[in-house]
Amino acid sequence: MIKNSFGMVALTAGALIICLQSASAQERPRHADAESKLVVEHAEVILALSGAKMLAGYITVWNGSKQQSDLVSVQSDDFASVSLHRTEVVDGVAKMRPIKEGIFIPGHAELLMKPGGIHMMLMAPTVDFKPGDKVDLLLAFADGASLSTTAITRPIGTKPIDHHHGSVD
Amino acid sequence: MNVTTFRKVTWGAIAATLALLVYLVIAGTGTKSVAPTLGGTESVGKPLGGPFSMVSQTGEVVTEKTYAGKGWLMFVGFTNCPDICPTTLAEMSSWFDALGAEADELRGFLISVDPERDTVATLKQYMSSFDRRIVALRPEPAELTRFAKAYRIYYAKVPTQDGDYTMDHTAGVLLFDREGRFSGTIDREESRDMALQKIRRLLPVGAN
Ligand SMILES: [Cu+2]
Repeated sequence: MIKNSFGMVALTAGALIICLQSASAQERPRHADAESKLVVEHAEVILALSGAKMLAGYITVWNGSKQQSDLVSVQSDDFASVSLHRTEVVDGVAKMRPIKEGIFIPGHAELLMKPGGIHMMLMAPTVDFKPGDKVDLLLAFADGASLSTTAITRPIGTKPIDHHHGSVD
Repeated sequence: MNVTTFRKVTWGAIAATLALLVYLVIAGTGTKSVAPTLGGTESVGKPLGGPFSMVSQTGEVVTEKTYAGKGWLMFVGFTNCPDICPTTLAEMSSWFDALGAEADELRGFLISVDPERDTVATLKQYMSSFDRRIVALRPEPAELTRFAKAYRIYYAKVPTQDGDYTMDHTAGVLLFDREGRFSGTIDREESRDMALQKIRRLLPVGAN
């Protein structure tokens, strides 16, 4: 039990990849507008077999402000519901569970979603997506702020891009 | 401190140490009896592996003899798995891709732990997105139970909020050499180089 709960804590911490103060000097001009606010830098939804009820989506959110932000929910008109999920590998077993407590993004840090970590679970699509289609997303934060963004759909089996704050893709 | 007290303290300390050891052993292994301790640390009982009989995405019966003589990369998952299954299969495809024709001496397997939803037709459609040397296999439920035990893989149905379900399952890729012996696993966090190194060991000597 000791081992397991330690593993959970480590994985939980590991899933939220934080690069504090990672924006180096030469990156700043490119992200000049992103220095004082929340920005979605990257958003992808990976398609599944037609008729699949669950699609996984991955976004990178950069918190350029000094204050911590708490991402509480994501919505999309193209899906019956969107929830935040986390996949953890505990003792070699992958477990995917909803995140109920929201996701804290410290100031000057990023939330990087990726397979085997935090992801969006988009349930029951109302559209028959083709690769390259757009999905409008609305992110809601605990302080009442919201942020809209557009994700691109990718074919089955695409590895989402590991987009870190400041990378160009 | 007289001798008697000293003895009592000593024995007390020994008892406490033993109790702690026993607790650690139980805590470390007792929570998941089916979950494997992969990587060759299992020394008790039969070696990991053995016979199986399942149906491939093209409708053929595949047993442990079908691809005997090739190295195996075995992954358990299900097509409704949105996050790590397609990513692992995409990674596996990229390993086959990197090894090119050499990888003809290998076979990848996706063994469905969700035969209830994964029909042969579903598996066929799904596998068209991955390398042709990866074969999807559908076990009958009873065969899945037997297979999981013999190959020490773990899976469990987990209900979701909307009344549906998802599956917990072993995350790593099991490797078998060309003699059919279990040779280790590739874990999710391992680098691509490390994975390729392990896979190359399954190839005939001189092929690389
Ligand atoms: Cu999920």
